[in-house]
Amino acid sequence: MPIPVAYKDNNSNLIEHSDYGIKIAKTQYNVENCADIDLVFNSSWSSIPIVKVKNVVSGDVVPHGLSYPTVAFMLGGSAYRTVMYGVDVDSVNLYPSDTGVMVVYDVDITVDREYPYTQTVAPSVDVFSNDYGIKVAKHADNIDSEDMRDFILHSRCGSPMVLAVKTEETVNDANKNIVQYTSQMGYPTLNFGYSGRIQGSLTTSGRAYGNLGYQFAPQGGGAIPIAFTDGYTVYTEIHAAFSDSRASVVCLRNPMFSTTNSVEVSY
Amino acid sequence: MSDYGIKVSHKDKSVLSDDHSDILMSTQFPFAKIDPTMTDTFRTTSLIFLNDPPSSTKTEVYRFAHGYSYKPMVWGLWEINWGPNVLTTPNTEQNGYGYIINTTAFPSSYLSYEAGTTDIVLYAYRGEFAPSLSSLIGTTATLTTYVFVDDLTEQDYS
Repeated sequence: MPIPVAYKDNNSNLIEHSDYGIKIAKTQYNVENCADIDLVFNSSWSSIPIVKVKNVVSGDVVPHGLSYPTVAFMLGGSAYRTVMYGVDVDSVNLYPSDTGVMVVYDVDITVDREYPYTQTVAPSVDVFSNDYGIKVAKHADNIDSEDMRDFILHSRCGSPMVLAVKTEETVNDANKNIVQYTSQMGYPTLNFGYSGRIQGSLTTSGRAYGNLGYQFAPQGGGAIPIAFTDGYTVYTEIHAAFSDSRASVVCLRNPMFSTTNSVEVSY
Repeated sequence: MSDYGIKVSHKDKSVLSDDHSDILMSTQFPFAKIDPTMTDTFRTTSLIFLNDPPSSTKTEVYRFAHGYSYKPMVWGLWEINWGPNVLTTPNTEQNGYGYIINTTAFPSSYLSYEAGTTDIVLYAYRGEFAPSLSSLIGTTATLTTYVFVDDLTEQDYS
């Protein structure tokens, strides 16, 4: 469905795949020249790391442990917000405005960056071989564990990835107060918006922002700030009254590989 | 924090740098993991409302097993096309992606999901926007669920 008004996308800031690092190819593929989709693992993939999982209530002030504002979601909260509600943040703390489990991810929302992934998701469960790959166990966990929770990294498992973080740094001259990005993935992506807030202004939960404050911009009509998305394009405004001209949109894409099931249900 | 693992820096940057932007990939933090050998961890469910659920109560409309025996992290991506008789405030979008409901200020109607220890359950809430009651008939929605290996036990890797 179309979004109310589509502006001009931010200027591209595509990074290049590195020509070094760690790559592991699927069986019978040449790691030196095969496509990304034929890899089991590539250290250039922008997989999403988990920094913290914490039970919180509205009004909590939670240090995220990073040196920059990052992405966090409430996974479960008040009913009408349903799921994956974002959290206000600054360079030190997170400010949940809901009660539930908050998961903090390592995604710097201040650095403008696009990752060069063009492939769609490939169902690939049949290509996994158990006798090679890469895995790193968590501290004190067994590297031979069958429980995937015991691993920091396991090449059998895929992760959603950051497709782009777009900021005020690359806004289009045609609409200098809009940060906008359009995915070329060919399927809907998870899109989120943040609006910069000046230090000392209040978070949604009534706390004072510190340095580099960002307010999560819901997608619901009437919210201020607000992020609009149709699953492909996402934009949010830079509010002059809110900030020193900062805003970000974050676009997350599906894992490189995963089995896909579909079911239709009528009620 | 572990003193072992893998770290790859950006080109011409030191792998020992404390500046996050210098690091391409690191195992300092665990990756969010989806295990593709688990059948229903990545799935789309398409809903169509041919009938109305009861009003003013959260009604289960569908459930499926996620394959784990604990409460996992779950992401959900909704595409919702509200039917013509879902009542909203003026200027409120009736269609949305993500977690959107038909209005943020007054939860007159919404779709949601919850993950338990065995199942993911989809709910519908048919509310009113005074003085009238919404009808969900004709509403269609697609929910893509991402079920992670990781659970919701408190952790701090920072």
